[in-house]
Amino acid sequence: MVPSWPPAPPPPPGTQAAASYASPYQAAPAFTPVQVRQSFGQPYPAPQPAYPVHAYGSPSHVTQSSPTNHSPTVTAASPPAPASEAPRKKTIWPDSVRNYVQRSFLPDNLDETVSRQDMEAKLKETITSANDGGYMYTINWETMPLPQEMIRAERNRTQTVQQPPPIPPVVPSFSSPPAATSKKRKSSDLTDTDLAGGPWRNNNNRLEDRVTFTADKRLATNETPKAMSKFQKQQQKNLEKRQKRFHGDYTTHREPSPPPSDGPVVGTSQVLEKRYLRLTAPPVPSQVRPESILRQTLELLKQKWRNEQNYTYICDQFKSMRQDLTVQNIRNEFTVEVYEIHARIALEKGDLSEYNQCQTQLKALYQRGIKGKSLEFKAYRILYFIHTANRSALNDVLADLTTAEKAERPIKHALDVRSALALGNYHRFFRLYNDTPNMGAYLLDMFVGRERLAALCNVCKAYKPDVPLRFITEELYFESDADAAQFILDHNGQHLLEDRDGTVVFLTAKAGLHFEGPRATAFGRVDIKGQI
Amino acid sequence: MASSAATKDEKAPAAADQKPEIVTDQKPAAALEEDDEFEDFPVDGTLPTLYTTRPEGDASPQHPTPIPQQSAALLTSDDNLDWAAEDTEAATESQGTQHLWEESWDDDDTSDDFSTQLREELKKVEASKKR
Amino acid sequence: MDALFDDFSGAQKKCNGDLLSRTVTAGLTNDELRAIWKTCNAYDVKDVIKHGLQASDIGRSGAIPKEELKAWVDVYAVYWKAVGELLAVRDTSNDNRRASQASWAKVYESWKELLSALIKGYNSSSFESWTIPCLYVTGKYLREFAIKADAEKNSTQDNAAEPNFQDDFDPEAQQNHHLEDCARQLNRVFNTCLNDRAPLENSRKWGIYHVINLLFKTYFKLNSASLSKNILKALSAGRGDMPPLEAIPKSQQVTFKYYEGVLQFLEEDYVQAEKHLTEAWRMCHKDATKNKELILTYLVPCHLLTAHTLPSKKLLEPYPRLQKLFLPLSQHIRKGELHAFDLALQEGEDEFVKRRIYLTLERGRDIALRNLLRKVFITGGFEEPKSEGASPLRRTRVPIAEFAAGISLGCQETLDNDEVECLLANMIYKVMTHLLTVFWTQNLMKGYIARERGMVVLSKSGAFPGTGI
Repeated sequence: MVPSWPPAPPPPPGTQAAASYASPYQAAPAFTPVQVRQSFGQPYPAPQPAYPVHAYGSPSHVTQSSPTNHSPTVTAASPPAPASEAPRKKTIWPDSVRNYVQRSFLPDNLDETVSRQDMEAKLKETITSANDGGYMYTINWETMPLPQEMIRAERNRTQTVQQPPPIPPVVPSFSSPPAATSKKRKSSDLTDTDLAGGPWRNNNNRLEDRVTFTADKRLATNETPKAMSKFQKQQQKNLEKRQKRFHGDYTTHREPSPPPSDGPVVGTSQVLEKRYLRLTAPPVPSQVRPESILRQTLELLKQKWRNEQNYTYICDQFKSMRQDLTVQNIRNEFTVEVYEIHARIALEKGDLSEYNQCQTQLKALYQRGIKGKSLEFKAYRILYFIHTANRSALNDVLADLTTAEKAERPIKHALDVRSALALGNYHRFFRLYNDTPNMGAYLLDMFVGRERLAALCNVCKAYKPDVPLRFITEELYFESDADAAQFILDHNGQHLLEDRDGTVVFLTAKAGLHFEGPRATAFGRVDIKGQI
Repeated sequence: MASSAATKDEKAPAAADQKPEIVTDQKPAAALEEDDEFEDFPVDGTLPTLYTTRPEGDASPQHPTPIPQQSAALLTSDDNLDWAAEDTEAATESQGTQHLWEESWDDDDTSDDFSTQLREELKKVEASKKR
Repeated sequence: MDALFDDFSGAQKKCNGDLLSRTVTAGLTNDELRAIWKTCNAYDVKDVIKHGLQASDIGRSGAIPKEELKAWVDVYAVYWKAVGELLAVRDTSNDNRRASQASWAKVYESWKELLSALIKGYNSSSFESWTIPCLYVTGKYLREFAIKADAEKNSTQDNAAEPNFQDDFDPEAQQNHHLEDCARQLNRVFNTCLNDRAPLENSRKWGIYHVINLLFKTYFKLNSASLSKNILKALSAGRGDMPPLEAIPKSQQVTFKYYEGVLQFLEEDYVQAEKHLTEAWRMCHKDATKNKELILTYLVPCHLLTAHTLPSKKLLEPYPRLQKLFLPLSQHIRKGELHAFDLALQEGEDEFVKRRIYLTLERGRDIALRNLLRKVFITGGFEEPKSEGASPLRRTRVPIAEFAAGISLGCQETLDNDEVECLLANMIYKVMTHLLTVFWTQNLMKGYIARERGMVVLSKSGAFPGTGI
C-alpha cells in the first residue's frame, strides 16, 4: 500500500506543519489526525482496529506508546469539555485498560512470588478505583505499575527508600521506520522510536524537499507488520481520545500517596502540570512530582506540543520538570529524554538560550554514561558552536569525541561543516547544508545567511568579469534564481544584476567590496542570551 | 604516539604512553593535561641560581623601578627563582644563531618526487585537452 | 613549635617575608609536622602559641602591636590544626583512609581556614606588605590540596547527593568541586593584593603576579581560560600603579608571559600571542626543557600564521615530542603536499586537539594549498618569448583543470571543478596579515578566475606574493 500524499503547501520555516499532517494514512505518526479535525460530525475514516491491537507485532510495542490522558487534565489553561458532551456514565473499559490487564499477565512480566489471585485482586482494586474516581480515561495506563509491581512495592515498603519503578518497558526499535518527514525534522516528529542514530532518510533531495512534505520511500515500500501495528495502535489511541471527548471525563488523576522515603527529596505530588517557579528554599515534597508522574507529564507535554504548539506554555512546563528532576537527584535515561525533547523544541523555536541550557546538561549526562541520543545532540552541539563562533568550545567538543563517534553520520556531518567553513570551502558547505541530518538544519539556517555573504565576497573578488546568476544560485544553494537575486537585492546589489539576452548575470568585477560591510556585520552579530 | 591512519579505530594510543586515563570511550572533560601545566622552575638540579638573600645592589640596572628594600624579601623563595641574562634562552641563541625559523615554501626545486608526479598529472591534463 | 617561634621572631626582625612564609608551609617532612603537632592539643593550642610568640625575642621587644600579634596567634592556631590534618593523611595509606577519617578534603578545608585567617590579618590592616609570601605560599598549597581532594573524591565515586535547589545540575561542580572553590579563594588573595591602597613601595601589589600565575594555572586546569582574561582586565585597569613585570623574578615573569601568550593564542590574536610567547621563550632559563617545549607548542603554530615560517629541525632538535607534532606537517606545507598534509593533520588530531592547536594548524592548509598551486604554476613553465632576447615570462593563464589535477594528486576522490574554483577563489580572496607588516597585507594568490574560459589568469608581477614569483 503506497499512500499518495496530498500536495501540501510548504509551511513557512520554523512553523509547524500540523495542518498538512491530516492524512489518516500516516503510519507511526507523531500526530494524531483526529486532533486537527474541527468537528466530530464527519465520519471518521479509520476502522476500529481489531482487538488486540498488537495482533501483528510483539505486545511490547503497545506498552510504550503515548498516553491516553490527553489534555484538559488539570490546569485552568485548558478549557473544560463542552457541557453538551456531558458524561454518559457507562462502564466501558478502554483498550488502554484492557492492554494493561493483558500486559499484567504476559509471561515475561509474571512474578513467581505473586499469586494470580493477588494480582487479580490488585487489578480489580486499581481499575475500580480508577473508574469510581472518574480517571479511567485520563490515567496513563501505559506507565501504570503492574499489579505484581505494586504488590512487590508494598512488601518492600518498609525497607526501600525508592519507589517501585513503574517504568514502561522501553523498546529500542532502531529498525522502525520514521514518521513521514520533511527534510528538516520537527521536534514533534520524534516519537519514542525515532532514534537519531539510525539512517534518517536518503538525502538526495534538493533543498525544496526540506520544507515540503514528502513521503519516505522506505516507509512506503516496506510496510512491515510492525509499522502496521503502530499504525493500528495510533488509530486505537485516536478512538480512545474520541471516546474520551464524548465522555468528557477530564478529572484530575489522583493516585494513592507514594511510599514514604528517607532519601533525598522524594516528591509526592500527583499533579501532572506545574508552573515553573524558581526555588528560593528547599522544595516541599508535596509540590514535587515523582518520576512516575513526571513520565506521564512528559507524555502529556509531548502531545500538547504536537497539538497546540504553545511554546511559552511548553517551555515553562519543561523547566518545572527539569527542576523536579534536579531536586530529587534523578539522573537517568528519563532525565536525558526530558532534556533532549526540551532541546529539540527549543531548537525548533529558535530559543537558543534554553537550548544551550539543555545541551549543557545533556553533555554532562552523557558523560556519566547515561544513554540517550548522544550522537544527534553532540552533532547539534558542534553546529551550535559554529553558529556562536565559540572557538574554544569547539575545541573542547572535538577533544570529547571518540574516533568511533566521529565516524557516525550526524557527527561526521557536523564536523565536515566545521572544517568546510574553517577552510572557506563554501562549495562543500552548501552541499552539506542541503544534506543535514535530524534537526541540524534549524541551526544551519541561523548562519547560512552570513556564510552566503562570505561566499559572495569571495566570488566578487575572484571572478572576472561576471558570472551567470545561475552559478550563484547553485553554488550558494538558493532555491531558485529568484531567491538568489532577491538575496543580492536585499543587500542593495540591484546594480550588480544585468539581463543579458534573457540570462541574468552577476557583475562580480563591478561589485568590488560591496558585500564586505554586510558580511562583517553578519559575523559580528552573534549574540545569545545565556552565552558566556 | 602517532597511531597509523589506517588503524585509527581506538582512541588510546596517543595518550597511552603518558597517562593511563583516557582509554574509556567517555573521555574525561578535555581540560589541559596535567603535564601541560607550566612547571615551577626547579630549585635544585640544573638551575643553580637561587638567591637566598638578594645581594645588595643587585637591583638590576635595567629595572625601571628599583626594587624597594622591603619587597626584595619576596624575591627569595623557591618560587622566586631568578637567573642571570646569560642563562636565558635568548643568550644561547645569540651565540650560534642558526636559522630557527624557515620560510614556509620550498625553493623552486622541482626535482622531488612530488613535483615529478605533479608533472605527470599535468601532462595527462594536457593530453586529454588535445584529444 | 619552638623552631616555628624562632623563625617567626627572626623573620619579623629582619622583615623577611620568605623566612616568615616558612612558618606556614606544608613543605615539611612528617617528622617536622609531627614535632609541631605534638606540642599542643586542641584545648591549649591558642595559649601555647600566644605564650610562644610573646616569649620570643620579637614578642618581648614589643615591636609587634598587640592586635597584630593576636592575629598571628589566630593564624598559627589554624596552621597547627591544618598540620594535624595533613599529618593524618600522610600517615594513612590509601586503603585505610576511609576508616581513619583522614582525607585530602579535610586538609583542603583546614588550609582554606589558614588562608582566611591570613586574609583577615591583611584586611584588618595589621599585617605588613612584606609578609605577603605567606599568602602566596598558602595559596600555592591550597591549590595542591584542592587537586588532591578532587582526585580523591572522583576516585571514591562517592556521589552523595548534595541538596540541589537549582533548576539544573551543575555539571562541573561534581568533578572540580574543590578546585573551583580554590579559584574563589585565590581570587580573594588577588583582590587582597590588588586593592591595597598603600604606596607602591610598600604595597601588597608586589605579590600580584605571583597570585595571578597561581590563578592562571588553576583556571586552565578548570578549563575556563576565559576567567583568566578577567584577571588580566583587572590588572590592566590598574596598570599605572602596578609594579613593573620586569621587577619580578624571571621565573614568575616567564610563567606570566607564557599564560598571557596562550590566552591570546586561544582568542586567535596570534600577533599578540607571538609577541608574549617570544618574550617568554627568550627569557626562559636555557635548561628548563619542559617549559621551553610548552612555549614552543604554541609559538610554532603562531609563527605559521603570523610570519609564514616553519620551525627548523635545529629548533625542534631537543624536543622529540614536538618533532613528531610539527615536522611532518611542516614538510608537507613547505612542499605543497596537500593530501599528505590532510593525513598528517588527521594523524595528529588527538594530540593537536588536546593541546588546543588543532584549529590553528588546520589553517596551515591554506599555505600548503598556496604552495601546491605555486608548484603547478612553476611547472607550467614559460611563454614563448615574443621577441628574441626578451626575458621569459611565466605562463600566467593556467587552465583550472591543471590546478584540479594538482589538488587531487595523491587522494582518492577527485574534486569537481566548481570546488576547485572555490578553493582558488579563496586563495585570491584571503588576506594574510604578516607579523612584521601588520598594516600591509597580501593575498595568497593574485589573479582572477575567468569561469567561462575555464582559466585562471594570474598576475604577471607576483602571482604568489611574498614567495619570489
